[in-house]
Amino acid sequence: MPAYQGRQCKFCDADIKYIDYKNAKALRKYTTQYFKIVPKYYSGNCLKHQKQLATAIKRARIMALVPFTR
Amino acid sequence: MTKEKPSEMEEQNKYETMVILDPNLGAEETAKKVQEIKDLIVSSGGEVTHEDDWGARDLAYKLRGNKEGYYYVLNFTLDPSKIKKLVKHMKLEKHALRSLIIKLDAHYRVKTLKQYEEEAVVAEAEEKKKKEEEEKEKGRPKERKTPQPKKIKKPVVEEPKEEEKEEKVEEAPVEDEPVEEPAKAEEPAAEEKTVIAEKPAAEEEKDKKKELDDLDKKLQSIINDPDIIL
Repeated sequence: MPAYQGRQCKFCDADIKYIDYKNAKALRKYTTQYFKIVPKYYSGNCLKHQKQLATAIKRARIMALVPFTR
Repeated sequence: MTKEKPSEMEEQNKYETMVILDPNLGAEETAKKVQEIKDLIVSSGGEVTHEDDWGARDLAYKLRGNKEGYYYVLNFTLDPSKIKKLVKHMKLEKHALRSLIIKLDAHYRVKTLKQYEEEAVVAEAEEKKKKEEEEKEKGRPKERKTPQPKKIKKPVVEEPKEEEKEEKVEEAPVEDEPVEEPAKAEEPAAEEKTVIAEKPAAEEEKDKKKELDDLDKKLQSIINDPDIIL
């Protein structure tokens, strides 16, 4: 992953307002090797989108689209 | 006395459900179960706007002993006071492994499975291009040559050790003999010792050269042999 400083929220740049839990492959970028959610300072997300991301990943875990751990 | 309610404000909210059904049921029964859900929605005053059939898919973890599940997605509008019926129906259903009901925002846009898969393919292609461009800028070659190992020749320092070992082996049995027959063994033991002592002094050089030549021949035969890998 690139350097910590200077990272910007990709969702804000692309003007995305709703993060869908059904899109398992796009959510995989924001999880670690063991499927844990990546923190905000590492991915560069703003708080608003980080919260939406977290609820989307948790819903996907309940519906068996993304595992809880490896 | 029945209360006369004013004109009822039918506020219908948008909802989405995702259901995982048992994959071992068969085509007819899954269609029946899906139809039951739709009838429930319509009977309580709602409308089904969009549906998406994902089919049988691999699960990320085992659910009730199953590794696969039949996914089905429904978008509909319904009165908020009548959602509890739906939730109860899903829970009591035997063959429904999991269910999820979500209230949708104003920003929600309906998307199907195919659209997500196409987007994923496009995104992967873009990432590959970016990586290739970065590598070209840095100037690194893609394939790195592995350095070949140098051929190591075996050292030729083993000769004096072999000679010393031979001397020790010969002296050991020689020393045991005088214990048994001290009278007779002394003379041959002494002679053998002198003989052994003379050998390394006078004939060392000759023996060395002979053994050197023998070792050289052996080493070369080993190096030239294609079957043996150094």
